Amino acid sequence: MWKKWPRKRRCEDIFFDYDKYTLKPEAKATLEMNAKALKNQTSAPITIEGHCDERGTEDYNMALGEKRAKAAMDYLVSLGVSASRFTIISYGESRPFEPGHSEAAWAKNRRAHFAAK
Amino acid sequence: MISLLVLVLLCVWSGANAQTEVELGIKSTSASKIPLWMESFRYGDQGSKHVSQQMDQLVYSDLEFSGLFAIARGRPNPGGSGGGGLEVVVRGSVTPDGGRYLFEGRVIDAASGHLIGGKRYPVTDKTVRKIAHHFSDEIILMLTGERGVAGTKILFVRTGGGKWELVMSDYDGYEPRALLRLSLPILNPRWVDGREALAYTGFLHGKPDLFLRRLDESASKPIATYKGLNYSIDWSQRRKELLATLSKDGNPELYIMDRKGTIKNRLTHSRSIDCNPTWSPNGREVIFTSDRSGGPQLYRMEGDGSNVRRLTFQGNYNSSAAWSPKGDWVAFASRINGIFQLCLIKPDGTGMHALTDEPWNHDTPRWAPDGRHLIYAEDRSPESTISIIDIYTKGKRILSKGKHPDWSPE
Repeated sequence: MWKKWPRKRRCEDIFFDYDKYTLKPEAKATLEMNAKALKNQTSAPITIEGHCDERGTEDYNMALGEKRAKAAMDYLVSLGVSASRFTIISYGESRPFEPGHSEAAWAKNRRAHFAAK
Repeated sequence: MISLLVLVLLCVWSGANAQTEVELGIKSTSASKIPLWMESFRYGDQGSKHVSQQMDQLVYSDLEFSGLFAIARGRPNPGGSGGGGLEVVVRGSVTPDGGRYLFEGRVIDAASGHLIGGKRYPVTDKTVRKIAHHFSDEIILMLTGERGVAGTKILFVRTGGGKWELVMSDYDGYEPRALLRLSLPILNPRWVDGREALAYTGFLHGKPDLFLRRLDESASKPIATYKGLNYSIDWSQRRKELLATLSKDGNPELYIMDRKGTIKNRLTHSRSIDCNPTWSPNGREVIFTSDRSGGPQLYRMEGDGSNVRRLTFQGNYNSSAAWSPKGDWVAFASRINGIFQLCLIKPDGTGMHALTDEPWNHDTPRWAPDGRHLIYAEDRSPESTISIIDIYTKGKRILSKGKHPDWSPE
């Protein structure tokens, strides 16, 4: 569905604590690298997907995924990436990255993912 | 609890001109049950035997499910048990009728032997389930003044193999029919305008948008496709309006729209998450989830967004509220010792208690029109399951694999 990113310019996923949409220091560091990669590109549009682990209620997780994607976008915009390049989509808990039911799987699923449009 | 004194005027069938008035005192919300004897349904010949047996099993199952009766199979002792309260006998028979069958069912006062009411239906092999559910609902109507829920329908979402299917079935999970099949997520199907239409969130355009589909049409119409989230809805039949959660203004907020998607009002204005709204039965108030105090909790407000106050204070994660059609309870999911359990709370914030205690998550409770049964999704490993619980007896029934159930209001 999405075009593959050139390896050098790939934006890395960022991860969140359970039921949180605040950016952790590691997430901010990743976003700073992502901002550099994005600014080196021309003006390719980016979709930021917000995802949650399975341990919340379905409806609330949709909103939580949206807030996660929005938090990532707002930080990238504050670093000078144009807001007009971004679309955000929440998948809530409907598309887990890892299908397992362990903390290791859940931690990977609480993420914002970047996709070239 | 409220004692319903129901005056039932009974028109007796098949030309009989006798009219009987029976006064029935039934506590609709308590666990007290009406003693009911159900005799094995009879049959006219060997050819009608299987229809009779099927009718018998279905009516028995429906009456048992209703939670209203203490059912014994067979005939009562002459004069009943002598307990003084209402005791009834249910009888039925199937006879051949020119290529199809005729079902006759009767409800009789056990003490006096008088007929309380009766029904007669033509039946074919294909209509057995429908007729049995209809007769069960008629029995409950005769004895309580309110129709049973055996004729209602369920919506839910089935997933597997990268597909999402929107399914409609009978209330007991039988006769499932896929209304829509996508390789993208379908969430939250909800009945709109009785059983005329349904609204759901679908990723048909790659993001969560709201669609409406009339049951007599095969195509869905988009009704809200704004930037961001278009989801988490609740229909008020009284107002003929939808509550919806939209993030078009940059944050998940609650809005009122008509069934075409025209926005009538915005109800919330906070920087936090506001979602998952549910109407009060009279359409004047709304209960919803917000994390404005730090974590997800239930809040209550007027239908214009004023007078917002917090409803839940126990636990640090309360969400997925559904206001009972009787108005007396709000069902929701609460995180207790790390697991989401179904809970009830009164709309004034008192009386919170858990209905489930299994070591897996429960979510998305929706009410049956009887205000007694809840349908919900539970994470029974390895797959999500749709189940039903009686809020008074806590008796359960597993219906199907799936998620996002909704119960038709009629």
